[in-house]
Parts: sequence; structure tokens; C-alpha cells
Amino acid sequence: MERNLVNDFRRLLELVSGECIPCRDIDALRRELQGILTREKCRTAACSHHALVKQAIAGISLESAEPSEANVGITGADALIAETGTVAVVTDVGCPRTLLFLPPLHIVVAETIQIVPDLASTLEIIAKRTTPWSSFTLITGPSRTADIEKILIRGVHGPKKLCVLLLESPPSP
Amino acid sequence: MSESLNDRVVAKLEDGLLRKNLRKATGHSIALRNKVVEEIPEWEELRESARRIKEDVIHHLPDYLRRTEERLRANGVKVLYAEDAAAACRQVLAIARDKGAKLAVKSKSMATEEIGLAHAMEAEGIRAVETDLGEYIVQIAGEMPSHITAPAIHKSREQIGRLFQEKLGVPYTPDPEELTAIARKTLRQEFLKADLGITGANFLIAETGTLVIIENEGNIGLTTTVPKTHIAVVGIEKIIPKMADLPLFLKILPRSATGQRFTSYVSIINSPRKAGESAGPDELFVIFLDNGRSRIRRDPNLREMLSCIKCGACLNTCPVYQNIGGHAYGGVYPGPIGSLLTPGLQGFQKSGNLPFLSTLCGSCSDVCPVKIDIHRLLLYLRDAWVREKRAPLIERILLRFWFHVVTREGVYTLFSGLARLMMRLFPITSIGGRRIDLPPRRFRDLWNETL
Repeated sequence: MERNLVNDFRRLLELVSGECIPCRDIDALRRELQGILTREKCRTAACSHHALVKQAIAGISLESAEPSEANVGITGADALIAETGTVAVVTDVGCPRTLLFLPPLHIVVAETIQIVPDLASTLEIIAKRTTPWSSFTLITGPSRTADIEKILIRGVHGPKKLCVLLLESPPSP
Repeated sequence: MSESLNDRVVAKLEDGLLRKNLRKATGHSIALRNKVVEEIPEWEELRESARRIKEDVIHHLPDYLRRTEERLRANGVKVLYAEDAAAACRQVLAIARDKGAKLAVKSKSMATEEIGLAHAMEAEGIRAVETDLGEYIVQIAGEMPSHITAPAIHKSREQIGRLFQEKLGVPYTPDPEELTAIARKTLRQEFLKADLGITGANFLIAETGTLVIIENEGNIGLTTTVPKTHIAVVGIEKIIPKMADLPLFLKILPRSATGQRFTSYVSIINSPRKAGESAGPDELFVIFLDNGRSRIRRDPNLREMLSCIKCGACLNTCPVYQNIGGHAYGGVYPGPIGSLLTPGLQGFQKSGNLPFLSTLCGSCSDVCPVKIDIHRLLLYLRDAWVREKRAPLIERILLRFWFHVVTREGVYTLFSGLARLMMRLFPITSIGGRRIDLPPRRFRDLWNETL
């Protein structure tokens, strides 16, 4: 069951030109993250305070920057939706919304256990949150437009690329 | 617009390039839509549920409005009501003056288009920059959008390239990727400087007081986050009852609108920024726009048009729209749904004979994700139009005469026989360049024989 959710999420995300990289453990995730940052020539980053983000960037040399200046925005997620390949991110004190839209590259670090079947399950998870928040955003692929002759172009006002590093959660006891 | 609907339609029909652009774009949209709709076996049930939910909201609208307003205020959102377009513009301008605003970034919104907000702001010396790529193209061209979800659908890449060259002083390129990059760079500066962010909303959830706005480009994410003040102008019919209704509407709207399973971004906004948050507006205003909606609601025959979720599918599938485009309709809402909403919102005096701009083929009703019986409502409006004696006198007399002929078989047979006789005696050889030959035998005789 969970295997299917992971595959569905990945397939749907890739259909909208998002990148999804499964990682076996946190070390593999760090290596993948370093790989993307080198490939995309990122020197400056704006990061959210998600625990997994802190773990992921530990030991990686990145200059911290304002979201409007950063080469990359790195955030966690509150849920991943298998049905549509969507990342749900609640914006709060630790995760300003500008992180999702201003930098040209958005990297999401999340765990396979966070994948849920559909939007209805996501709404239930978000409704259970106890800390104050102002909004949440459903992200399905990079920013896109087809306003000129219906030709698909990526990266209009938001990120040109969206990359999800998916950490395999340890099997539950 | 001073010229008549007829003149506009004829002018558009003679524009070969426009028809080519339209055919290409609408054909593409319909193919995408059909593909993702066919993936959902329960599509008909979803349409039915969506229709029921919207019907319930429209039926109990005053009650829903009161509850939504309470929730919004509890969330720290400021709520205003605008009776008409002028009142809504005044309210936005009052907020702008209060904030000392010089620059507003706008996202695509039919409600703000309906009230002519961008022009009202420019007239007060406040720059209002459209940030959706299609709207931006149309704005710098000094035109009106021609489609609900694809405002620049009538323009080719070469036309847009020349427009950017002329208005933005950049070298000519017809490459959509380069054109998009130019717009991104120009508009990013506007986002960072803007004092106000102005949007509409796709849905407003009564239970939680939540604004839901869908998009692909990221401009709505920025418009609702970067400026210190966010104003959402929302038609009173945009309410849905519960958060749990949202998955249904987000399943049918993008598929119908752009043939996407989901849009790139959905902004679900509960409140302005909370203490400690480093981004998001300090203040959030919701302006509930009536502007004729209550009047439509009072007519039980017409109120279902308020269920419209503005997907634009009925435009793409309409054989009339495919040939004349949005501008010919002369209003903010084009296409089959526009031929209902414009007379509904403005009254017949201003909208003329729009309900006649349809073949009544019913394709619009078939694709409508909330099952509005669009072509039946068009027929109802035609009837009302005739009853109000708005048709020319000669047309009314002839139709009256025709009615008496076709409802009496003997009289009809007599007249059709007379007509054949007249055509033999005074042959008409051509009508509008087409050759007319009198068939050797009457259709009625052929019919009777084969039966």
C-alpha cells in the first residue's frame, strides 16, 4: 500500500516536471542535496526551520540569504499528496511563504511516511495542527504558464525547478 | 463600446489571423480537458455534487454570507460589502489612500475586471500592474482580456514579440520562453516595490473563513505575500460551505479550465500574517461584491448561472466563440456563460441581444463542471428579450404570422404550395451568391412516401 503511494506521488510529480529523488537515509539525502546545489550552482540559500531541513543542511556550506536574494529555497513539507503529486506546506513563523515563491529553485525535504492518498487526508492533518498559522500552499510542480499560444513555459514568477528529496522512513515497529 | 454587436461579430469573422489563433488555442484546450476528464469515471457524480453544493449556497446566500463574515472577522480579516462596481472601486481606493499606496500588483481576477478596478486606480494616480502573463500582455497592449482563463488567447507569439519590443524597449523575439523571461524580470521588481496586492478568489469557505485561490505562475503567491496589504475582491456567490467541499471543487476546476489534474499552486489563506511571521500581509481585506448578483438570485429561472466557477470550458467548446473570440461579446465575461452573466449583471439595456450569439447546440451545458443548463438559460433569455418587445417591430409581426402558419397544418400546406408556385413564376437564381434551384418534389411528399 505505502509502496504504491510513493510510486504514485513520484509519477504524478514527474508528470508536471517536478523532480523526485528517493533517499535511503539522511546521509544519502545530504549527498543528493549537495549534488543538486553543485549542479544548480547555488551559493546562497533561504531555509525554513523544519527539523528535517536542519538535519539535511548540517555540514553543507551555504550562505544564508533573504528569500528575494537566495539562489534556492529549502523547506520541509506538512504532507505529500499521492493523487496529484502535490506538496503541502503550511506557512508559519518557521516557514515564511516567500520561501516558496521568490527563489528560482525550490527544494523540499520530506519523508515517505508523510505521503497521504489525497487532498481530503491532507486537510485533516492540517486541521489537527495546534500551532498558529496563517496560510498553506499546495505546490504541484514548478511555476508554469501557457499564456502565449498555449505553449508550456516553466518558471514565470515562481521557481523554475521543484525538487523533492524523499527520505525513506524507517519501518514502523 | 459604441458599435453594435452585429458589427463587432462581422469584424471579427473577417479577421483570418484571429480565427486561426483561436482555433489553435481552443482546440488544444478541449483536447487536454477531455483527456483528464475521461480519467475520472465518476465525473458525472462529481458534477452533480458540485451543482447541489452551489445551489444550496445560492439558495441560502444571506445566511452563508453572515456566517462567512463572522469567521473572516474572527480570523482577523477586515470585511466590506460593495453594492455595485463604483462602491467596490471607492472602497479599494479608500484603502489605497489610507496606506499612501503608489503601486499595486494585481493578479488575474474576473471580479476586479468586472468593476474596472485597474482603470479606476490609474485614474487616481495609483499604478495597478497586472501580473498574470496573459493579463500583463493585454494590459500593455491597452486591450481587454478575451478569455476567462487565457486572456491573450487571441494573440500570436509574433504579435506579442512586437508588443514587448514597442512597449518595453527590448529587442524583438517571438520565442515564448524569452518573452516569459522578460516579463518575469520586469514584474519581479514591481512585486518587491508594491504597496498593495489585489486578487479575487476562487472559493471562500464559510465554515473556516478561508480564501482559496488557484494559479500556475506563482504571481498570486507573491501578490498575497509580498505587499503589506492584501485586498481580495470576491463575488458573493463564491462561497462554499465547508473545507471538506474543497477537494471536490479542486478536482473539477483545473481539469475543466486548463486540462490540468491540479494547478501548480493553490493558496489557502486564513489570516494576515501572525505575530512572529516574517512574510505575509499585515492587513487582509475581503470586499464582497454584489453588483447585480442579488438581482439575478431573485429570478428563480436564472439564479443557477451564479453557480459558475469561471473555468472557461464553455468558451473553448463553443462554435461561436471559436470563430469570433471574446472581444466580440463586448463585456467582461465572454462566451456562452458571458451571454448569460452580462445581461444578468447589467440588464438587457446595456447588453443588447447577446443571448442570440449561440447556436443552442448545447455543448456548453455538456462541459459545464457545475452542470449549469447554459443553452436552456440562453433560450429563456431570448424569450424574455422578445417578451420585452425588444425585437424590431417587423420581425415581431413576421414571427407572429409565421407562428399562426406553422401551428396549422392546412394553412402551412397552402402557404408552402403558394411559395413553390411563386418561385416557379418568379425564379430566384441566387441568394448571397449561392445558386438556388427549386427541388423537383416537395420534402413532405418524399417523407410521406418513405414512411
